[in-house]
This record gives sequence, structure tokens and C-alpha cells, in this order.
Amino acid sequence: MKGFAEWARAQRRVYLGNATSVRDFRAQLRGNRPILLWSIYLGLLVLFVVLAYSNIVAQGQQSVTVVQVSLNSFYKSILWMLEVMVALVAPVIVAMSIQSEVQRKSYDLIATSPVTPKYYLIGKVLSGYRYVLMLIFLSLPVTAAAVVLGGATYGEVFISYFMIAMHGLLYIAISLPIAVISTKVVPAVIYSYVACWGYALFASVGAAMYMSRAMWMGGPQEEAPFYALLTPAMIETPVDAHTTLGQFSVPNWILATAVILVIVRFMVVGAGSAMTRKGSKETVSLRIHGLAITAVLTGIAALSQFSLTGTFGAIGGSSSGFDAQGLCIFFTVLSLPLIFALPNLSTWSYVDEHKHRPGGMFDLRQLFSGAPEGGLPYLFALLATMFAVGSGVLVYFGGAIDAAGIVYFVWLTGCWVFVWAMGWLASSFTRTGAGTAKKSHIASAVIIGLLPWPFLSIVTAMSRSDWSVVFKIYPFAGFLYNVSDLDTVVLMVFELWVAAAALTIWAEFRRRSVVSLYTRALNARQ
Amino acid sequence: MLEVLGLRRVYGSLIAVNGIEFALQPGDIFGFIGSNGAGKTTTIRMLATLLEPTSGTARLNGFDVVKEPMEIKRRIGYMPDFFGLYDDVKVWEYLDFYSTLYEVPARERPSVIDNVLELTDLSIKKDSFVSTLSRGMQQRLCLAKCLVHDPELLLLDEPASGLDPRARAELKQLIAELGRMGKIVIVSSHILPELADFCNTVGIIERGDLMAFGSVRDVVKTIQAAKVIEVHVIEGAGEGSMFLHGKPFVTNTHMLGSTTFKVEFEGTEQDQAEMLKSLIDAGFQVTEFREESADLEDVFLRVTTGAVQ
Repeated sequence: MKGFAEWARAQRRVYLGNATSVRDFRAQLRGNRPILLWSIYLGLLVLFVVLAYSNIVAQGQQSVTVVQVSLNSFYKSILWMLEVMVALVAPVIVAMSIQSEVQRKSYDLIATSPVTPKYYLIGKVLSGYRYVLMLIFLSLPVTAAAVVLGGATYGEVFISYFMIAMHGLLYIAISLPIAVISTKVVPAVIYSYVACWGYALFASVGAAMYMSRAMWMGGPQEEAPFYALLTPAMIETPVDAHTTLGQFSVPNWILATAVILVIVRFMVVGAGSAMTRKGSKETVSLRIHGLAITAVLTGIAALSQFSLTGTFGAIGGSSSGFDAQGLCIFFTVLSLPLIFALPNLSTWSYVDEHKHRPGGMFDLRQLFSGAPEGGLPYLFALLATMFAVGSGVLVYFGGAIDAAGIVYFVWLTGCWVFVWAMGWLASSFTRTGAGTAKKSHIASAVIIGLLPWPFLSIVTAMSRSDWSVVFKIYPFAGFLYNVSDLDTVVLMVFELWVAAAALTIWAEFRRRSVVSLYTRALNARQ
Repeated sequence: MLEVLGLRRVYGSLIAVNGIEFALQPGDIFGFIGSNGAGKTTTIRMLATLLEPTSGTARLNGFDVVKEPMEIKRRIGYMPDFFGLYDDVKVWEYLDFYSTLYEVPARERPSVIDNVLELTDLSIKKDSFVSTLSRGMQQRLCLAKCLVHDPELLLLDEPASGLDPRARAELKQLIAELGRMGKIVIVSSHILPELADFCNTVGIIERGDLMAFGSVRDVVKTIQAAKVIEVHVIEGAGEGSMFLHGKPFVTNTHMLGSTTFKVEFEGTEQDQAEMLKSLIDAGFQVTEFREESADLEDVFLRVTTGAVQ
């Protein structure tokens, strides 16, 4: 009971009357600037409504159906405008708030006060989110006009506004870790925009492709997949859209909200981990959350894929049954976000914070501590979780994992081990800290991962028969093109693991020579 | 009590702080002296929990800087060499913000804010915007912020930099007052004579090594193997110098003019008195007889080489 009371007190302190949020709020609404900004914003909204309505009226007598369609378009365009405004404001507000604190050198004063990273970050999220909510609420009278004129129902407005508000929260959360790890305001803002808009673009295109392919495969069409609500492309969702999970029919906005809240939590923990030391509560929590979120998202994606298409084969190109190749392409796509995690899991440095110093290359005991030697075990843990949950869903629906599936998964693991080894090696060539090592890692991964593609595409003219040769010499080819020949996959696995092992040995040899160099220098100094 | 135990910070092959050790008692005002890049700020930042030591630790009243950073944060007030204040809030709002962060109960906050404003002589500026404060006032506001939670240890990194002489004098008085209140105060500064005025303990750091530590008097003594006594006589300084040359405990004598000479002396205060008596008994008309003491600046220049890392 006492533990609960303490927990409740701590939560109250973080979420209600958070000093960071109160301070930001005081500054946000002070002076003439906010009044001016809000007036301009409202003026623009009203101008837009007047113009749109005049345009409808100017068309003279129309049938009720045509007017209804026009008003609905009018309503949608308001929502779009609002979504764009949120996407413009949300990323910048938190990035600027945190980075200006660092630049102003007031952050050190906060860092030496007894507040947890969570307290500080939630404060920043609350103050930024309040601004976004004000933006949304101020547009309500304009949207109400659309309802009164018949363009939408109140239910639709409520759901759409709610989802736009959730998108705002998502954008803020995405920009949070970027703001924390950036060193200047401008890069923080630019990278936040890149991440948020990249997310919006990638998620929208991905969802559209996924849905269209599912429809093409003849999957259930009476349901709209909930993940569409995670993208800005589907803000004017029908009120009754739902997803069937097992025996339950769950409204899509609830599922989408749950996923967004999980992502927000993950981002807050991630940003908190970046602010703390090795083995901190935040880092351990981040690592555990990472595994849990991987499990949940894999489960949801697998269930959703199955409920949509009735098969995993759909993604593999085959139209019937449980297809190991399809399942593994499913894993490949799911594992792609690892590209964002690997720079943190694979880089090290002896010149800056203690948490970046490796005590070796592989140590299972450091799985959750955030130490560099725990990076590779954690990568294995993530992939194993993904495989276990995905396969579990497959088996639950009566499928089985065959030899091809296992070989494919070994290939996928090899790919990520290779990318990890690149980071380990890149770190040994940098002398200016883990930040530089991360940048070098990203640059080298982009060069090795992407650069061959245009060349290979030209050589093969994207012909499947020509690609079979490429598969045999370029082990990453499986990322882009479905490889159906098991012998080729086995060869790719062999090549990849040989390459990954060679790179890992070289990288570790380099690390040990760096350690010995520093040790000699320190001994000489003593 | 603050115990610094082998605090060490390494960046690659560079040792910023090399296992320094010292201890301070409540009421101690510790002047931390060193060239730029000597390791002062790194040490202070480690004590403030902003940097993790590579090895070693420090304990404040039993709480470990490495293992219990949150407990340490509750007990310290940190004022960095460069800091920014929030320009867009009022002075009382700024202090209210930190009072909340330090979990000062809401009911007590108004009185705590009034008290620290009074202590730092900023009461009149309570409702002013921070942006309107002068540099000296901003320094004092930062110090006020450090005091809202009544810390046991104050870490002040170059607190007097950029202040005019009056503001410096006021800050000096304030720090002395904090020492009298029983707080441990660590002050780093380049202005050595000022430190000597109000610090009862000093430490000299160079290239990460603590070269000297102790009370100002003890540290000065460590660099003076022999006392230097300046003697003024009405006439016959040369004879006086010759008279003392070769006497017990006198290692050397120098003529400074017709009425002044210096004596390098290794004896005790009793021996010193005996020497004065012998001079007078010998008929020299002594008008002044004083021991020349080295100051912190001499000590600093003698102990350090000016090398930076």
C-alpha cells in the first residue's frame, strides 16, 4: 500500500504541476507574440472556410448529392490543413524547447536537480502538446461549420480530431530522442522534421501498399486495417471502422491509440536512456520495452496480416497457404526499424561517457545495461523475440516452420550481425566519441547497403533470371527481391556469415589495439 | 562532510583528473585553484553528478556520488562557470521553478523564495523579468537558486567571472556568510588574492593532479622552506647583515639598501625572537622586523608549471 502511495505521488508529481511544463507554459503565453500568432492562425482558417464555401455557393443550383460531396471535401480539406499544421508545429516545438535549453546552458542546472529524465521529458511533452492541442481546439468552430452545413457528423469530427491530436503526440514523441541527442537547435529541428515526415510518408505508403496488396489477394474487405489510422493519410476515418482480433471486434481508433501510446512511451524511455548513465533504470527499462514492443508489434502485425489476407504467403508473392518465404519477408520488413537502433547497439568509444566504453565484445550479463558489449546479445534477443512471436502466430493458425523458413531467418540474422560489425569497426576508426562513430556507422551502412542497388539494377535490368546471379554474389540482395530458390538462399547465408564473421573479427582486433594504445599512453602518463 | 576518494576521469589517453583525494568539513570554504584545463571544472562536474568518474568516487555525508546521484543532487547546489537563465520569466517564477524541482513543499515556497532573495539581496527585483537583471544580479540569482533547498554542499565554478569589483566584493561576503551557515563551499577561481580572503582551505590542481591541499597558511608554508625576515635599521644595514651571517638558523642574508636587509631563517618563532634580541643587544637600532609571507599567487606559481593538457 505504501509502495502504491509513493508511486501515485511520483506520478502526480510528473503529470500534474510538472515544473518544467509550468515554466514553459508561463513563457509560451506571455507577451503579444502568442496572441498575434493565434490571430494569424485563426484568420487563415476563417479565410480558408470563406473561400471554400464561396466556391461551393458560386456553382449555383446543385443536387443534394453533389452538395453533400462538396461539403465532405470541404470537411476533409479542413482536416488535412489541420494535420499539416500539427505536423509543422509538433516536431519543432519540443526540439526547440529542449535544444534551446542546452544551448542556453540552463540544462546543467536542471540536470543537477533531483529530477528524473522522465519528469523533465514528460514536462516538455506536456508543454509542447498543450500548444498542439490549442492549435486543434481553436479550429473547432471552423469544423463545426462543416458539420452544420452537412459535410460530416459529430462522431466523425470527434474521431478525426482525436486522431489528429494523437498524431501530434506521436510527432512530439518522435522528435523527443532526436532533440536529446542533438547538439544544436537547427539540426535538432531538421532531423525532427525528417523523422516525423519520414514516418508519415513511410507509414502512409506502407499502409497503402499493404492494404492494396491484401485487397488484391482477396482478403476480408469489410474491415479497414487499424494501422492506417497511424498515418496522416486516413484521418477522416469512418466512425465504425474496426479490426477483428480473434473473437473481438475492436474499434480501430482504440487500437491505433494504444499503439501510439506504446510508441510514445518507448520514445520517452529512449530519450531518457540517452540522458542517463550505463545500467540506469531508464536504460534497463528501454531495453525491456524494446523487447516487449517488438513482441507486441510482431504479434499485432502477424495477426493483422493473417486476418487481412488469410495467409502469410501474400507477402511472399504466393497466393496460397503458409509460405515460409512470405513469413521471412514479413520478418525482414518488421526488422527494418533495427536500422535506427543499430548505431546505438554497435558503437563504442573510449573518449567520452563511461557508458560508451566496452568491456569486451559480447557479454550476456550486459543485455539490459546499455553497455556496448551488451549490444550484440540484445540484437540477438530482438530478432529471437520477433521470430518466436511471429512463428507462434503462424503455428497458432495451423502453420509450421520448415527448413527454408529457418534458413531464411539465419540469413536475416546474418544481415544484421554484419551491419552491427560495421558499427563496431567504424568505432575503432573514430577518436572523437560515440557520436562520430554513430555517424560513421550510418554512412558506411548506407554506402554498403544502398550504393550497389542502382548498379545491380542496371546490370540485371530487374530481370528475375539475371538477379539469380546477383543473389549468389551479393548476400544482401534478399532485402529487395524475393529469393525463392533454397540453394541460393543457403549460399547467401554462407557468404553473409563468412563476411559478418570476418568483419567482426577485424573490428574486435581493432578495438583491442585501441585499448592497448590507450593503456600504454595512460601508463606512460602515470 | 565531503570525502573525495581517488576521483579520476579519463578521456581516451587524456587524464583530466588523476585520482585526487581530499576531505572537507561543514563550514569549510575551499578555493580550488588551477590553470585553464587543469581539471577544476571536470572535478566540480563530477561532484555535481554531471560527469561519471572513470574511477574513484566522492561521498557527501555518506552518500556516494556514483551510486546515489539522486541523493547527492538533493544535497548540493551547483553554479556552473557559464550558465543561462530563463529570460522570459520573473525572478520569483524562476525560483519557484527550482523550488518545485527540489520538492520544496508548495506551502513553504513563498517564504523560501523571500528568504533566498533577501540573502542574495535581490528582494527588490522579485517581480522583475530575469532578462532585465544585470550580470551581477544574474550571478546572485543563480546562487539564490542553489540555495532554495538549503544544500549541504555548494559547488561554485568561477562565480566571480565577469563581475565588477563591487559585485565581486558582495559575492565574496555572501560566500563567506554561507560558510558561516555551516555549508561546505567549493569555489574555483583564477583571482587568487580574492580566494585567500575568504577561503579557509585551498587546493591547487595541475594537469589533473592535486599538487597542494590544506589551509591557506599550511599550503603557503609548504613552499617556504625558510622564512624570509626583512629587517629595517636606522643605519648600518651592511653591518647588521654581516652580524647575523653565520648565526644559528640563519642560512643566508641579503643587503637591500643602506637601511634594509633580508635574512633567510630556519628556526622557530622562539629562535626568531632570540635573533631580534641579539640584534638589539648588539646596538642595532631596529625600526622594523617582519616576516615576509608568500601569498597564494606565489604558491600557485611555484607549485604549477602552467602546463595544460
